[in-house]
Amino acid sequence: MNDLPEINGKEKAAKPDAAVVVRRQPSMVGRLGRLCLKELREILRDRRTIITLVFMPLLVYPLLNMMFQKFLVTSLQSASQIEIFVGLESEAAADTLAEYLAAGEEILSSQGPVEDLNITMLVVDGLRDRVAEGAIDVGTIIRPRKNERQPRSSRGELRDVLQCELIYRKESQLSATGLRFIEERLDAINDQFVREVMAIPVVRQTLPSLGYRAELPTKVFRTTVRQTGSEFPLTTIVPLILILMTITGAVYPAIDLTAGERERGTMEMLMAAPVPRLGLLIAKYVAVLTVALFTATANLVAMTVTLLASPLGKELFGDDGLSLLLVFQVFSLLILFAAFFSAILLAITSFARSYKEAQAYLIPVMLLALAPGIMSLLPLKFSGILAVTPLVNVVLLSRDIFDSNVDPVLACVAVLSTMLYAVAALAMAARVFGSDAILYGSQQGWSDLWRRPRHWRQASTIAGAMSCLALLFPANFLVSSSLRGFSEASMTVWLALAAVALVVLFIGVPILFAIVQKVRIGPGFQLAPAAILAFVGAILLGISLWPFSHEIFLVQKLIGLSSLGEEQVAAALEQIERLRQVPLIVLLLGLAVTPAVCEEFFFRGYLFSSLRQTMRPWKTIVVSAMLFGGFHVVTTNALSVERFVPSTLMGLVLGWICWKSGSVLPGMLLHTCHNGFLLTVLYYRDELAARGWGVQEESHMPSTWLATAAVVVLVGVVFVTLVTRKSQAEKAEPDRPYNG
Amino acid sequence: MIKVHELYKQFDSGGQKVVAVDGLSFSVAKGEVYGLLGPNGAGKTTTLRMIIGLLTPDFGYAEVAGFRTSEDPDKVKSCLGLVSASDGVYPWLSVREMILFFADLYGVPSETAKERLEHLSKVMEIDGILDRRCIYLSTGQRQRVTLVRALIHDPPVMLLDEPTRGLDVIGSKVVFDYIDLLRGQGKAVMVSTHRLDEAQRLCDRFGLLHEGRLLHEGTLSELQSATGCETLVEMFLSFLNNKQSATAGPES
Repeated sequence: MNDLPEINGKEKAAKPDAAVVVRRQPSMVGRLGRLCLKELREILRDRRTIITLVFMPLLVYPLLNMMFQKFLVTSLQSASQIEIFVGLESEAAADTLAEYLAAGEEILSSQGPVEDLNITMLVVDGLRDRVAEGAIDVGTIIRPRKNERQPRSSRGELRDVLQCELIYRKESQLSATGLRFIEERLDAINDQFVREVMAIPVVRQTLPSLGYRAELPTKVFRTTVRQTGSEFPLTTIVPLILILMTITGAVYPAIDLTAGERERGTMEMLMAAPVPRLGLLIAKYVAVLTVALFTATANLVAMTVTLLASPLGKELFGDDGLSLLLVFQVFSLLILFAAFFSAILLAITSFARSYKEAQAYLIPVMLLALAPGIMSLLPLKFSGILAVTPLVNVVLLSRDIFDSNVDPVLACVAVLSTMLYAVAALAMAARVFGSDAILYGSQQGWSDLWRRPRHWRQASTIAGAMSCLALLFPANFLVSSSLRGFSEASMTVWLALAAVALVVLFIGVPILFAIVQKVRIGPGFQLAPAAILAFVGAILLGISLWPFSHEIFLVQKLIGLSSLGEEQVAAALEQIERLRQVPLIVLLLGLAVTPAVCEEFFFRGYLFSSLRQTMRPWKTIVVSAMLFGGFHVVTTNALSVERFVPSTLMGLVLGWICWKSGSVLPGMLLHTCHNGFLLTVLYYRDELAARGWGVQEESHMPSTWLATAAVVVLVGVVFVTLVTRKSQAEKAEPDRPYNG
Repeated sequence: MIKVHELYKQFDSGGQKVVAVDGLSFSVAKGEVYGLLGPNGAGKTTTLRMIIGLLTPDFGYAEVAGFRTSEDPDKVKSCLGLVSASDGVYPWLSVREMILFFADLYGVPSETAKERLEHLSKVMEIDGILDRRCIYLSTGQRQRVTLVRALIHDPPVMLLDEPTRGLDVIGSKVVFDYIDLLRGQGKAVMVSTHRLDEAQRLCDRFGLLHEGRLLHEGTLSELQSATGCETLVEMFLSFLNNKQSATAGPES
């Protein structure tokens, strides 16, 4: 589809007409910015956008608030039908509580009508667990004691102080209602006591000067427990509503800016302008995303205001209500979700030739989008495959945010995978947007997506490489998580399986992509011979960079950038001890050679060569390095933010050596030497320490070591710099650019 | 300024291969108005789109101002002004905003674009509607706006695809005057139309297209001499009859 025609004639192009002045195009960034502004201006002036952006949030949330309130009031109005179970530790405690509740009820009744609930007291063991399970709604631990400081009763007795701990489930309406019921009555007793004390003249007069402090007859301590039962929390609906509203905001702009352009007849004019097709698509994407974010913001603000202004906020989120931090967290998630869904919408509507066709495509997509939303209502544990399943991961993550129960590893996996999926969706849209078939109504729209190019190419497209990365990230996470269990049984088996998995993922999958995209394996993966100097330089760099990695880790720890907790560090150290039982050669093959070769094959092979087609060398090196660094942040059981900087720096070195040598092979050697050296040092740690050559994790490297390493690095850099062979891709005839 | 060599394009239509353009070759010089004529489905629009680079030919090539479409697509597009058969506008932008937007796409500096817009809007008589949103334009106004839009970057080559479609007499006259203006400015103009009578008045040279092939090419007088017919309609029908007879062969 994007390939050039075969040119039959042997004639070269005629010399360009000297009288024709081809205008130098202005800066692309500025032009893209103006393109985005035009798209936004057009879409925001449309009445239909204003309706979804402004009127829907203004109407929906107050209506929902009324509905929910009605639901709650209705469910509570028939109070006689509701039974609140209060658990206590003993019969005596139950009697004591009943006495206090009756006294409080009497006080409240004298002041006005009182809510009447059906309270059943039960004597149970393990109050906290019973509350968490939902077997009882409120657990009460009573600790009565005598109050030495209170005036004695008329009979000279010390008054009692009732201290009770109330255990409840924050997200449960029943539990909160029971808590409120008990607290109101106990508070009434305290209020009555204060009135009585203040009525005594001598107390009223002398209170300020004596500093007399009355101890109230009841004291309540609250304890929340996490729900483990299956009761349906209303907070799970909130992320679903927000997500649906965000989708609603993005749908119309996506249709209007793609299918709408075709219907209006402006697409042809746009394609006839000397602007890259990808630039046009990005401008449209930014416009769709902006409107989606506006919609998300409007909905979030409307929801927050509604919840703050009505009792529903406390009903759903407890006495603290909806906090600003929670709102910020949800908004951040909505940004991510909007970015992802806008890309999906644009990818789908790019196929459509008219509004009607676009709507026909989108209706099933929106119905499909409801399914993950409904999953958030189920008591599903956010883990494993759900963390990388598109849409489901965002919905479940937002649910866990509301529950204040977020696993940082899974959150990071969800965020990164969603970002990669958005990139892949845009890549798909870029393939189709403005293509012959879609522009002119041919019947082959969808098949164009899968059609192989007509000619073989020297490197993958960026879209193809990013799609491959979008697949590799979640697949790597899932496979690594699945294999973790094997490490408990046998480290050797685990190493072997992990190596096979790496080969399949980082070599097999990219090769498959390359075959489908008709990418030549040699230049497409930078598999070319390199100068001996490059290999020598690679070895020198590989064995000398590790002290600097160590220092970077220490600096990060110093400035508080360490994300590994003590538990995780302990687990890592235990893992290292178990690895030392494995023969060194197995260790080196499994953890040095295989990861080095496989990662370089993809990052500096497939990805690097694709980026190099359109980017300058330094940009290619930086982008590939950052993606490499990001890949190393997420491990199966920990979020290792501190690995980003050293991994990215290593990626810069590897990218540089790849560019200089024109081959991925020296980088593989460098990476292998680096990993291998570190592993060997760890393996013989005790022996080295005995000789006084040990490296302490928490202390800086000796300055002589650093200086020596610096010299070796310098020599390595000089060797590589002396390499002058250009990359195979640059020497061979470059792929001809397609139109856009 | 325009050179087309052995262009070939086929489409897949319901499982069948349809040849839209079959080995087409012609050229258009500076200051010349060339009419690519033929009935509906002859391949005119497909040819235009291959010249612009919106469609990729299966064989052959097109050159504009010495730049080959397959090698320098952006430079080709910079040299071209297109008046498309669909006079699409952006409904929520004003005329001024839309035209200046396209000027920006073609890299025209902002001040130059504004000056040019002021001048062209007076020539095409749209100066009174520059700040009106495009959704409120009549058909004739829309046509004039698209003509101005195509000229805003002062391209040396103009392509007009069915420029008088849907227009009344007055609207068509605007187009005729526009083409005269372009000729006067020394632009290479290619007009694709099925209105042979209009083309006869507008164009300097003609290419008669049928089923993707060029039946004949030349000035009006050359075609009149070759065919003995006065009008293009008669010539076209005559060529078609000759072609059908040649195809039928000895049996006829």
